[in-house]
Amino acid sequence: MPIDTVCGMELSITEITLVLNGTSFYFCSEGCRAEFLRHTDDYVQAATTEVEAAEPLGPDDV
Amino acid sequence: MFRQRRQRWKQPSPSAPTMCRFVGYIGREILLSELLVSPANSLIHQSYGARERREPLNGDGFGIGWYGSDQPAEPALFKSITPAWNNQNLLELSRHILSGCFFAHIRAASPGMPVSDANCHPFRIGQYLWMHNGTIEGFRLIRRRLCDSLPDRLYDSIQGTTDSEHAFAVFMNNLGDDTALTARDLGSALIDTISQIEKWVRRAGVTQPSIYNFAVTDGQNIATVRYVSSANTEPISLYFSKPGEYCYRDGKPMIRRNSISTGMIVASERLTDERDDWVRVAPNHVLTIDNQLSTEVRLMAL
Repeated sequence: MPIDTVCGMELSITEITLVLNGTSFYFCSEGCRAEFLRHTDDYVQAATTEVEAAEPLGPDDV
Repeated sequence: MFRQRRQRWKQPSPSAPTMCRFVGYIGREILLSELLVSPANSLIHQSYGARERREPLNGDGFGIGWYGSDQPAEPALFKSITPAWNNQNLLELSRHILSGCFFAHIRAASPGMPVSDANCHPFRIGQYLWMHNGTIEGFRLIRRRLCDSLPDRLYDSIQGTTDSEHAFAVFMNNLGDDTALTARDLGSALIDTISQIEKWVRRAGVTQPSIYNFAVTDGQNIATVRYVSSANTEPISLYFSKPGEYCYRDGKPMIRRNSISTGMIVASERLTDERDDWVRVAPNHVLTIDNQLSTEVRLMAL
C-alpha cells in the first residue's frame, strides 16, 4: 500500500501524486504535497535512506 | 517600597505576525535543562536566536509547566515576563527539576496583546497544560461569542487576555467531563476546537489566515497540531523526535535510535543539529503521543 512521503500515512487512494526524476510520490492531501515541494531535498533524502536500508546486501557488498 | 508592575502593551507592528516557540516532553524523567538549556538550539537559545522564523526574538516572557511523579496530578507552573535568556531563576529551576512530562514556552506577543504573567504560556486548567504557537486572526471580533459558549467554571478559569488562553477554554469545553481519555481523544478535541473557532472567525467576516499550532497534555498523553487556515500559507514549523534514547555524546544531546525509546519531544524547532533526529509534523495533521510513547499522525478533515 502506498505511503504518504510527508506524513507517513498509508493510502488507500492515490489521487494526489507527484513524479520527480522518474519516481512517484503519493500524498494524503494537497497540504502534504505542498509541504513536499517546499522541502523536497529533505523528503527525497529520507526516502532514499529508507530504500537503501531496506535493500538486501548483495555478494559484492561489504 | 515596591514598584507596581504595570502591564506593558506591545505596539502593533506592520510586519508579519509574531510567533512563539515551545517544547513538550513525555517519557522517562529528565532534567528540564536537558531541553531548555543544553541542546545547541535549546528553548532558551530560541528566545534570542530562533532559527526557523523571520524574527529570532521571543522575549515577551516564558513559562514552564511540569508534572511530578509523587505529587498530585495537577502540574506546577513557573512564569515570568522577563526574557528567558536572562532569567536566572529559570536556569536554577530547570537544572534541578526532574519530570517525565513537561511543557515550556517562550513568547513573542501578538501585536496589541499585553505582556503580563497571566498571558504567558503554558496555561493550566486542572491536570491539563496548554500552549499555542500562532495567532487567531479577528480574535477580538469573536471573543464575546466565544465566552458566551463557555460554562461558568471555564469562563472563570480565564485569567488573561490572549486568544490562546480563550482557545484552551473552548478545548476544555469540547473535552467534557470524562477523565478516562486517550491521546486520540485529546487529538479529536483539538480538531473540534479549531473547527469551532474557525466557524466563529468566518462568520465574523475575517479573511486572514489563523495559525493554530496548539499543544495540550494531561500528564499522560500529548496532542499537538500543525494547522493554518489557508491552503496558500505555509504552516509554521513543528517537529517531533524520532523514537530512541535521548542521551549525550561528546557533551552534546542527541537521540540514539535503534534503542528502546525513553522519551518523545515535540518542538517548534529542531533542538539538536542532527536533522535526522527529527520528523516534521505534516501540515494540517494532528500528532498524538500516549504514555507508552506510541505516536499517531492524523490528517485533519475540517
